[in-house]
Amino acid sequence: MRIKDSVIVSLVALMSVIYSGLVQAEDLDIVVTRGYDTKTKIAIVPFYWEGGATLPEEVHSIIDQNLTRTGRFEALPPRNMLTQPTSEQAVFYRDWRLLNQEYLVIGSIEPAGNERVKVNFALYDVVEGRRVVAGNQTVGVFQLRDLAHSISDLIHERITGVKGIFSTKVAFVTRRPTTNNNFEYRLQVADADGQRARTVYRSNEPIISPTWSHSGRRIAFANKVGDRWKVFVQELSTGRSNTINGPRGYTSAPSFSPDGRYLAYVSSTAGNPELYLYDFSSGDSTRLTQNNYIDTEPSFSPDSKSIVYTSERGGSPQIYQMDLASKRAQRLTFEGSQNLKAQYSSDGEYLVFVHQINGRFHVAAMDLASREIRILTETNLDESPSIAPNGTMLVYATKSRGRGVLAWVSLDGQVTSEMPSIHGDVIEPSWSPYLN
Amino acid sequence: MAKTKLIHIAAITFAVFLAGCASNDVEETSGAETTETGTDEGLGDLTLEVEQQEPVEMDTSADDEMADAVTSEFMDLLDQTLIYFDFDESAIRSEFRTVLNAHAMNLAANPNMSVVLEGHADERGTREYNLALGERRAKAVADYLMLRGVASSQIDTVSYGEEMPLALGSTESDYAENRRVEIVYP
Repeated sequence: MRIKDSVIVSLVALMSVIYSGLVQAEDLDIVVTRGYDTKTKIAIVPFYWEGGATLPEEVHSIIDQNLTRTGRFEALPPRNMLTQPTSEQAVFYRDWRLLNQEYLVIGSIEPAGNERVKVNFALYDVVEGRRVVAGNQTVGVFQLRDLAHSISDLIHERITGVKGIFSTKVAFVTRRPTTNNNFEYRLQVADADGQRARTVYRSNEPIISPTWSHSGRRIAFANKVGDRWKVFVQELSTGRSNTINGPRGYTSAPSFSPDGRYLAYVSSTAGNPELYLYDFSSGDSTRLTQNNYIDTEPSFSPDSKSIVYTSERGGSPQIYQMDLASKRAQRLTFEGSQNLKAQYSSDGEYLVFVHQINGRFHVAAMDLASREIRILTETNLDESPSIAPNGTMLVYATKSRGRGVLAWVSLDGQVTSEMPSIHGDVIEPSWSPYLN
Repeated sequence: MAKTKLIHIAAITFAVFLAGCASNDVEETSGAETTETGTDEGLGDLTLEVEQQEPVEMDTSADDEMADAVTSEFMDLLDQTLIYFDFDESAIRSEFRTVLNAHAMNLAANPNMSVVLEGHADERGTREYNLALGERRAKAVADYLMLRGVASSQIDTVSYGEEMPLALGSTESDYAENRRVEIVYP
């Protein structure tokens, strides 16, 4: 038993990223489809609100949805609770053991004047009969969702030992038909749960390959502009962007180096898609590949010293790794008729990529030490896998009932949830790094 | 009017190309017409002049009919602006050579004319790879046209990747329809 159980937690950087040029907010609902067989059972009691007017968010519901979406937790519906304690004095572990609960979360919210509220919360280990953590934070009522995500992160970390990803963001592209066979494309940034999507860039021509800088402050993407494709690097706080493009051909597939110094990208300006490295400090680009084959989809290793990329120099698209100092490349994938768009896990121990086998496209992971490949998704036409910064989940794009949708899967290969589109398609997801 | 004449020239050149050395008649007749047209700068003017000469009227109208037939066939070929490809391939299938030959003739005969070759892929595979594949298909068509006398300055290529499918379904026939290069005369 720890003596100092009461830890006052400071929840910082709730609104660390402020987006400008926001055009339209749009919520997307999450449907949990599958999860772990043995889930951690947690009871999240509705937070007691001492004020009069209805609050814009239900903090306990957001925490419930966050934890449930990981596939690792099963939340007790409030209607099945024997009591709904709002303070520690009213917590009786026996009640929760009767309901087979392992953890309990309680909380209360009190008015703090000026549209602000003070939120108190605590997490209890029901099995051991002790408080794990407690804290309070005063926020504006419209920051309640951010606070709920921060509390979720803390609960996830205290129970699993792994930092939560509920305060991170996901960028994606929406495509919806307008008139006369035209589409409107929007690059959107949403909470990791798909809520509060905001448009950061829009175009009547295709947008693909959004990707985050390691700081989380910039997003790069490719947009078709007339008869060229250009890479845009956009500062999220100001909406300002720079472009990279060649006099001929297309420029696309941007990827920031984790050390922040480079942007790898693809350009066909010399006649064939080749990899380049743009140096942010000098403004110069260095060519990395030179052959008659397609080289594309570069992505940096966590130490910024090498990249993985897709090349069809062996006859079909496969994953290669290039050491940036020596420019020497080696092929990494041999199973499957095609392997594309690889990305390193944040610990650098495995890759996730698109794997074609028996005519179907799935997301697969390869352990870099053993070179063993595991298929993670069961749907077909799976694309654009992007790993969460804590390495526990990834988001990818797939098709459901003819629509482009986003789906989440844990790295253990369990499909956990799907984010359906309201109308049009949702494509090309990219998970942000930690933002605080 | 000027455009029609130029297409006519291309059509006749095309007829020569199609005929090769198989028929002397066609070759000589078309060859003569082409030469005359080239010097007189107008098949229409030539026809008017010829109409006044009764004895050769029959022959000329026969030539005209033939030229019209060739032109019509040629125009039909130029109307075909979709070149299809096999999965993950950019090789020109033999069945599209005739259509591409017609476009090559048309462009070679009209050096001021330009064309945009739009490369497309089906939805399978990643968007980036399909962007590269679409470009490679557009360039395969561009190379074919340049080998047949079209100047590189007349050709622009652009890849749409998998972003602009013609068929919205996910069957093999939908995919086959989407793996294409569209020949666009601006």
